[in-house]
Amino acid sequence: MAKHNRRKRTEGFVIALPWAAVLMGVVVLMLMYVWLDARGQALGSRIKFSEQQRAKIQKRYDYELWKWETLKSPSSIEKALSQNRVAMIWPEEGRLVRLQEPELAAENVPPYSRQMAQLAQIPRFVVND
Amino acid sequence: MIEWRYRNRLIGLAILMMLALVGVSTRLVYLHFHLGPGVDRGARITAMRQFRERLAVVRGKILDRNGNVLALDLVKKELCASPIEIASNRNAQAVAEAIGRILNVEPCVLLDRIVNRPERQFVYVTGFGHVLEDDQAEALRRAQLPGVFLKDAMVRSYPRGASLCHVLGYVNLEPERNGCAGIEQRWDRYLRGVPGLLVGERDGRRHEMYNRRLLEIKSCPGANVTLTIDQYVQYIVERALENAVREQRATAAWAIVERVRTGEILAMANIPAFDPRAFRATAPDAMRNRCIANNYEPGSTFKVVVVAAALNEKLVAPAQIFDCENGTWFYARRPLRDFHPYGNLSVADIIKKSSNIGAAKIAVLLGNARLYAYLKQFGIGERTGIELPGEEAGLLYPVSKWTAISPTRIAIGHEVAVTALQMLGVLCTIANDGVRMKPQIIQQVTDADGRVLYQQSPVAISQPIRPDTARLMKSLLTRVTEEGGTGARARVEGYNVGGKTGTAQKAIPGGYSDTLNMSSFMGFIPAEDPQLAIIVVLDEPSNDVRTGGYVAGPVFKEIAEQSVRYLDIAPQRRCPPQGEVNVASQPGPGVNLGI
Repeated sequence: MAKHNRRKRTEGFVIALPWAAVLMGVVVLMLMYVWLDARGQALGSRIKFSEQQRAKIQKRYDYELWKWETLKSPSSIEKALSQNRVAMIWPEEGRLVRLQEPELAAENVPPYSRQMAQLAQIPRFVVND
Repeated sequence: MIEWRYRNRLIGLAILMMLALVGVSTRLVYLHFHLGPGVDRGARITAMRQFRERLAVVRGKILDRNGNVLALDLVKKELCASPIEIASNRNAQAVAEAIGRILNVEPCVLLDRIVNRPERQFVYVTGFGHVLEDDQAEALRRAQLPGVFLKDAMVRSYPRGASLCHVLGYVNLEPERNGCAGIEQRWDRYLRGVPGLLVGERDGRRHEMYNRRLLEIKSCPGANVTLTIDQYVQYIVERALENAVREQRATAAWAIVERVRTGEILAMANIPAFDPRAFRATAPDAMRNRCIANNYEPGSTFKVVVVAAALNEKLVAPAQIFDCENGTWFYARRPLRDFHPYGNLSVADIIKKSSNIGAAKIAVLLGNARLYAYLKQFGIGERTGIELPGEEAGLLYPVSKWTAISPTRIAIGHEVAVTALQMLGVLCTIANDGVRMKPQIIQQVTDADGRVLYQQSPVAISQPIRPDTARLMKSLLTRVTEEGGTGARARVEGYNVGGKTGTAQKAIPGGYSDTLNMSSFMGFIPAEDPQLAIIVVLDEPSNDVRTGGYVAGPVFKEIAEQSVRYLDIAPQRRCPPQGEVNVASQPGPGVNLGI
C-alpha cells in the first residue's frame, strides 16, 4: 500500500482560477448594478428637483408678469396719476407741430441742432429745442 | 490550518450557504423578470407600484396688438381642510376663528363647512373654485393650522380686470378649463395646449423611482393668440362709454373702432361689463357681446345704404331735389313722418338732415329687387365672419315677404335688424372706396417657441359700390357733421369727420315705443383719407333729448379725438377731399317722384 504523501496535499480551501474569475465577474456585475441603480436614482432625483425649480421659477415669472401687466394697464396708470395729483390732458390740436419726413432730413436741420447732436454724440438731430 | 475532522462540516456549511444564496438569487431573478408561476403576482405588484400622472398644461396667453398681456394662467392656492382630522383634534372653533381672521370672513360660516361633514377627509373651506390672494395664502401657510392645507389651482387671470371682458370671454374651472365665451371659446383649440403624461413606479414610501419612468410625454403649452385690439384705444372707448351711460342714464352702450383699410378691430367695448373671473356670479345678459350679438333696428344710420345704392345706380344725384312733404307723407295709406318737417331737400341734404321721407322716396325709386340686392351686397342679414362666437346675422326678410311699405321703412332703418359690426361694415365699405373688408380681431397665433401657426391678412369680400360712388358718399357724409347737420356734435377739432346719426324707436309688443330709443352714431376720420371708423350705440338713453347726434355724437367725438392723437393720425385739411364732388354742381337725371 502506497504511503499517503502528506507534503503534496494542499493546505486550506482553494478555489480554482476559472471559478474565481467567474465569481469575481459576478461580484463586479452586482456591484455595477447597484452602482448604476444608485446613480440612476441620484440623477432622477436631480432631474425632479430641477423640474420643480423650473416650475417654481415659471410660476414666479408668471406672477411677476401679471403684476407688471396690471401695473402698466391704462387704468392703473391713470389711477396712479390721480393719486399723485398729476393731471394729464391731450394738447390742443393747434399746439401740435407735426414734422414731415423731408423736414427731418439732415440738410433741413438747423446748424445749431446738428452741432448739438455731434457734441452729444447721438445719432439723431435735436429739432425741438 | 484546518483540522481534517472539521473539513466535512466546513464543506457542508459552504454547500448550505451556497444553496441559500442560489435560492435567494433565483427568487430575485424570478421576481425581477416576472418568471414562473408568480407572473400574476408580479403584475399585481407592478400595478400597485405603477402610477399614471396627467401633467398640467399652461393655457396660452392672449395679447393685444402691441404684445400687452390680456389673459394668462397663474397658479393660485385653494384653501382645503380635513374635517376628520380637525374633529379628532377637537379644535374646529379655533381653526375657524384663525381662518376667519386671515380671510376676514365670519368664523361661523367656515365652521359650518368644517363641522357639518366631520366624516370627510377633504373639503374646500371657502368653496370650490375660490382662490386665495397671495398675502392670504402666505398668512395661512405661516399659521400652520392642523388639518388645514393649501392646494395649487391653475386659474385664468385677466390683468386688466373687466376691460375687454366680452371679447376675451372666460374659462371654466379645473379640471376642464374650457374656454366658455369670446376668444377663449372660439380659439380654445389653440389656447388649451396638450397635457403631458407620466407613467412610472413608486417605492414603498410612495416616492417616485426615477429610474423606473416608463413613459414621459412633456405637456405642450397652449399657443399665444395676438389680437388686433389696442389696449389703449380699448381703454379710451370703455371710459367714454361708461361716462355716456352715466350721463345719459342708458341701460347699455357698445362701440367698435375699426381700421378702414384692413378691417382690423382696434377696440370693441360693451357696458355693462363683468369680471371674467367672477363669471358664475354674473347675469347672462351682462356677458353678451352686444357689438356682435345684439340685433337692433338701426334707424337713420341705415339711410346711407339706400342713398349709396341709388347713387351707384345713377338713379339720383346729390343735387337732385325731393319733396319732403312738410313732415308727413302717406304711402300705401300709411303715414311716414320726419323728426323736423322739411319742404324740398336735395339728396345731399336728405343725408345731412336725415329726412325719413326723402330716404323713403329714394328707396321707392330704387325698387324692391335692387334695394334687396344692395342690402345683401353690403352684408345685411348675414354674419360678418369675425372670429368670435355668438355672432348674430341680423334680420332681413326676402322681398317675397315684404309689404307695400317695407322699402319706405327699411330705408329709415326699421323692419330690418343689424348688429353694430354689420353697420360699421357698411360705413367702412363706403370709406374704403366701396371695398368691403372682412372684420378681423385675430392678428396671429404663435406657439410657445414663437413659431407662427396662424396669421391673418386683410380680406376683401366684395365691392358693392363703385369707388366714385363711395367718394361721393364720403363727401355727403362729411356734411352731416358740419353746421346744420344732425351730427355736428361729433366734430373733432382739426379734422374732417364723416358720419351718420341714427335714432330708432324700439320695437315693443304691438308697435314701437315712443319713449324707448336706440341712439347711435357711426363715423370715419379723417374724412379725406379715412383711417378709423367708429360706431357708438346707446340703448334706452333716458334724458329729454335722445337723438343719436345729441347722445352718441359726443361719445364718438371723445373716442375719435383721443384715438387719432394716440395713433398719430394727422389731419388732412384739403378742400375738397380726394374725389369729393361739389354736391351743388351735380345735375340729377331729372327724376323726381313728386309723390
